[in-house]
Amino acid sequence: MIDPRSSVIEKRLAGVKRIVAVTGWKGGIGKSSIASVLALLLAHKGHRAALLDLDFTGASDHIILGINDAHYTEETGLNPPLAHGITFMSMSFFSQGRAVPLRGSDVSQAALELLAVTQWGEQDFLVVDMPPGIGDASLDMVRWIKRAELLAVTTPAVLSVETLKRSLALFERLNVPLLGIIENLSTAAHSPFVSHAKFLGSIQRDPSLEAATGHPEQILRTRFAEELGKVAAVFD
Amino acid sequence: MHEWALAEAVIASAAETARQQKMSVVEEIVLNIGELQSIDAEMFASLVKNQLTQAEPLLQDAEVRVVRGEAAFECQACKKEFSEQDAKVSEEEREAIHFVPEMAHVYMRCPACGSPDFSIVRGRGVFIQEITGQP
Repeated sequence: MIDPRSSVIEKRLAGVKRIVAVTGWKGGIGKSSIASVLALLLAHKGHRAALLDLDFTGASDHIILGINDAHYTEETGLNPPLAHGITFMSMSFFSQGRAVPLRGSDVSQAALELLAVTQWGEQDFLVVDMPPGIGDASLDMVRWIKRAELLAVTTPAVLSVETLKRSLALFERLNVPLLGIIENLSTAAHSPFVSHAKFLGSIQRDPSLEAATGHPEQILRTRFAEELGKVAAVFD
Repeated sequence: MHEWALAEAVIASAAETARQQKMSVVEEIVLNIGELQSIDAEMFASLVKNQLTQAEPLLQDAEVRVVRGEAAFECQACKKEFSEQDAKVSEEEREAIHFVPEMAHVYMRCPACGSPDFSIVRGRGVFIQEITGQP
């Protein structure tokens, strides 16, 4: 039996100029916040920006951005809705707010389905909120989304730093290009990655982001968005 | 309808496979349409046939035949095997499963123990079962 779906992924992404895969390989580091607000900032700057939430078991981009009523439409595939200037696709459209208990191979299968049927159209950027960890789903994503550039998120925590080091080495061996490293929830003046050639900058812990969750206009006024905006200058 | 996108994937995949197997002409494509995804098999075959007319020459005259694949599940917790009919879902839930079959884990439960932790043994969605042609 031949699964035909991966054969059409490149065609689905043909109109996307750059694909930024936001990943961090460790939970609780703000990967989804970075991915969501990055898409918001890019859209706010006038770019055609799309966001794909592939963190199926913990989908939260729709909550961060307050995307409640938008829904995909069905034509020659699934057309993602435009919400707050972002073309957005998420498993939350299908799970109706329920838990999504998927094993690793099922995450891959569900992601493959979305990649095969989602019609992204013309986009300057597609930001992908990657599945956490370095399991089946992450490995499959970088295999299927061939033009993805990694935007790696870490924190000052030793466990996060050590995990990132190991993971970067792995993905380098897989020939996945690294766009850059962002240190989130920063408290120290010097990140262990500050001398890394691809270090883009630090983002301080910002308590105002929590209060702004679900309100894109408020998010854009937070220090978090301001600092991420400086880091994201790499896209200009 | 989103089946169009899956039909396009079938065409692309069939062309890849035919080239890998060094076929000069494809005579028949057999599709296996899994029950879980609730795709109308005849309608899907028509979509594929319509797209074949626009496809590259080695595919254009291929016949399309459909085999329906019954869905089967196995509970990871109690090992019971069950069918789609055993695990009752509403029409709204069925639509979500139609778009992403793994949503079965959100809406279906093992009829014996109630666990959502089951594997889809067969009958998930669209597969190419066989491609035949001439070298």
